[in-house]
Amino acid sequence: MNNKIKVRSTLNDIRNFTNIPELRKGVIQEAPETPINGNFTVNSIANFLHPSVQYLKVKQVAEINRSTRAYILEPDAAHGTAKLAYYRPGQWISVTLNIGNAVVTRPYTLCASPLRSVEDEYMLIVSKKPDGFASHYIINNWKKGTEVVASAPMGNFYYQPLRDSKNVVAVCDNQGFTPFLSMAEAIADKSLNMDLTLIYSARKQAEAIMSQRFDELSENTPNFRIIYVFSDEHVFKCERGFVTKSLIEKYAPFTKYSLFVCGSNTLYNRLIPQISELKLENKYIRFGLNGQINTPEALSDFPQESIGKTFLCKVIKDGSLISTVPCSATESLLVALEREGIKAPSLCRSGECGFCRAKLLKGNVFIPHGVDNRRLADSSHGIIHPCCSYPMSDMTLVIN
Amino acid sequence: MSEKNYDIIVIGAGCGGLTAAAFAAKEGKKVLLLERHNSPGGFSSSFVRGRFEFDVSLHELCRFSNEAGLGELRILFDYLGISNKIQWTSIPEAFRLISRSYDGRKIDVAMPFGVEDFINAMEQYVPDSKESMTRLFKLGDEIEEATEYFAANETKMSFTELRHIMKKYGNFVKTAPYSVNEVLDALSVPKKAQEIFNAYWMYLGVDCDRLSFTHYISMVNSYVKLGAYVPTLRSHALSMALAGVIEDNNGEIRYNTHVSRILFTDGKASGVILKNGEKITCNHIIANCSPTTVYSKMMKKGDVPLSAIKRTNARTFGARGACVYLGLNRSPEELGIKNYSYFITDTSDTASQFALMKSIDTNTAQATVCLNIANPDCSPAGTTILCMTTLYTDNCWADITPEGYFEEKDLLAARLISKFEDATGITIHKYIEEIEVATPVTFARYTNTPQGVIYGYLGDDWDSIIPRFMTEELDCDTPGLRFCGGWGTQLSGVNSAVASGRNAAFATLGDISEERSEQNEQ
Repeated sequence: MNNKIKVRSTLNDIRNFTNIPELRKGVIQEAPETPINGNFTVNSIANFLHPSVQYLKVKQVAEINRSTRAYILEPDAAHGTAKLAYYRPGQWISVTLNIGNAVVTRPYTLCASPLRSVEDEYMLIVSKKPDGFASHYIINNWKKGTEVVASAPMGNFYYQPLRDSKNVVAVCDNQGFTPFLSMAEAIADKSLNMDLTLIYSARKQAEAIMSQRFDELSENTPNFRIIYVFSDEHVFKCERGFVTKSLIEKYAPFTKYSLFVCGSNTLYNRLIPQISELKLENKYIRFGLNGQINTPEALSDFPQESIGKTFLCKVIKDGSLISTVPCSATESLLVALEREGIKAPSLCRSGECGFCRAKLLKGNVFIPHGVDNRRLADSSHGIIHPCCSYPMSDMTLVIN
Repeated sequence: MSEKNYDIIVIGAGCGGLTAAAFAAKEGKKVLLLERHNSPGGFSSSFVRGRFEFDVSLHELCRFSNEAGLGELRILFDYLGISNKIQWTSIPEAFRLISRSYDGRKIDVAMPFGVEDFINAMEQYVPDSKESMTRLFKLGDEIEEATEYFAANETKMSFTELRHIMKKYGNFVKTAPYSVNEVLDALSVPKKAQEIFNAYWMYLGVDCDRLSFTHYISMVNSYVKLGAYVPTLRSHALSMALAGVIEDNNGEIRYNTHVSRILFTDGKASGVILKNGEKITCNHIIANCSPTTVYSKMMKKGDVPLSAIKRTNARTFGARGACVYLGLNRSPEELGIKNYSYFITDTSDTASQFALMKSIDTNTAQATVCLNIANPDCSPAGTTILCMTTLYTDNCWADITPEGYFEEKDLLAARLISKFEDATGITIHKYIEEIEVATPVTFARYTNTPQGVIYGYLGDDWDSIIPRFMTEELDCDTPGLRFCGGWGTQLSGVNSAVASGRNAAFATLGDISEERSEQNEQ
């Protein structure tokens, strides 16, 4: 078949072939000598929506109750953050805290409507946990003017119109109301188009944080309503007891609905058997961020023989051994690193985001079943998420 | 921290950078690979949502085979020792094309792998296409031989050499200056067969009026002859395997490390400065990032040669990408999904389709992949992974406001999903258990690619793979600095990026030994 093909004519085809380099050189020769345009508009939008870091300042502190504060944060232009990143209601930021020798992070939900971020305001609500560490530090130290270093908004616990039913029934306790506060605020100012019924579970009326604001929103917003369930007291127009299958069904619409759950492990443990009886498809059930597991020994799959043991973890960064860290079997590797003042990457602290990704060169860890969200190839290459990995032997860890 | 000196610093751990670093480390060079993200691979990555793990970008690899030594990519992975460290899934068929013919009729064809089967299927859809299609694939084989010759030999285009080339690779020479459509017309391929044959154009992002025939036929020929493969544990498995080669050969990789400047000494690349101010010195740099970014942001103005400025200004960005990742709560059988790869376009006229892709509102074209058809165990029983990719041929995502961005993402997903449903008659919107949407903004965020471009520079007729190769040394006008990856000579895609990484490594090794012999002479 050789020599049979002609595209224009044999001679032209050969000339055009030998001309290929000249053609390219010619186009380049004619190009302008003006400086190369490095202004990439799409990248600017990306940097605006997902900055690698946000420098913030506390603008205002409000006391919600004895152990709870609301913090209004504003951009800290002096450090390079001119505008706050926009977000979806339900998303969180991770704040970095220098507490004594330790550098730790904590994720906190952005509680206001995203529209307020356009007005240069984020709101975080922080409650002192009984045996808390970071929450105590924040409440004791943050005041007007405090500088806060935070991540971009993150997280997948938000209303997704193509996936979720427009009718959402949500269940929370006072450790998980924040995403729903943001959603309710956004429904009220019409930046979010969904119907939300929130079932707020608490022991007593006085313990339901932000109830006044929720009541206001419920009263004035057609697409939002709140129902309280108190286990320890009777309150007029409120439910008594715990959240059950029948209680959810009582307030759920007759049509299809999505069930969003966010709160403490106690809430999850009590609710999960009830939810399975609802016979909802998987896609209609969504859980908020787990949060750090502080008592892994309470999990049924935890190797009991390791309780009380401590190990040594050699930490390698940028090719060199930077520290040898003592670590307890019942404390996550991330916490052990942070306590030693090692700046290890972390964001969600729940095994979800993968930002803390590190390589276990030697040794074993326990990873609770429900929080192992590693990628398949990561698992097979010894990659772990230190935020949800518990030491089971001496080990060598490479961090980024 | 003590100042270290490396033989080679590679900037960017995309497929090109990983491969370049792997080859250089394997050759005993002291290599440092720097990556902004916390994980290797660039676009060759994956992510988890609920009970699904999605591949970020990979549809299918070509030039690869189950058999050792067969296919360029297979040979390269054999050399690096990773072919057998990665589990592979073979793709069952070429593609299903759903589009509109020039005469207004609907096109809905499913094409198999295997040259004979492909030609026979074409004959069924387009009678009297067999002869020209047979000629076309034979030409594909000749071109494969020719490109192997050109890859192995430096050609000076002297008269005697040209005579030799003409005699041996005449059909390569005579078709290389032309576009896909020009050559298909010359071979008298029936119009309707051309429409089907051109379906793979979305993998290269240049319409077939401009797309290099040589480039296209060699890709299609490889797909149809050897079939296609994906790593069973997603393309992240490939990235991890490549990173493993680097580490096993004493190369270093640093993640979460942002290079802000490339340093030059006496006109030659001599090191980098990181965002945190740290300085690392080296003798050579391989950049797995866009030359536009390097020249405009990472080099001092005076260090950029005028020829590089003009070349960069002459070029156009290739396609921007967007993807919709769906985890569905029904099995493919329950949904009625039968094919692995769906090319769904509004028109089979690729130039018109290219124009429709300029704007967000008019673009519903997609290359959609159902991973379960190739790998039934990729998601839990009773579920399906479906990934839709579309291209934008202009900078339309630059007009989005931050407050409108999330809504725009959902609109894009809705548009692609409803197009898929209309084209195939398959309902999917009711079964979405997980959904993630990536836009050009997302790709800019994770890879720092300018404007969210996923295909490097546009492979326009004057800047396609052939002219780039024939003038390759002119592009190396910045001493000590070479490029690889999707912005390199071979254009984009995993296959090209990997091959370009190997080439950049060998070219740099050549530079190093040249320098050594010069020093010896002195």
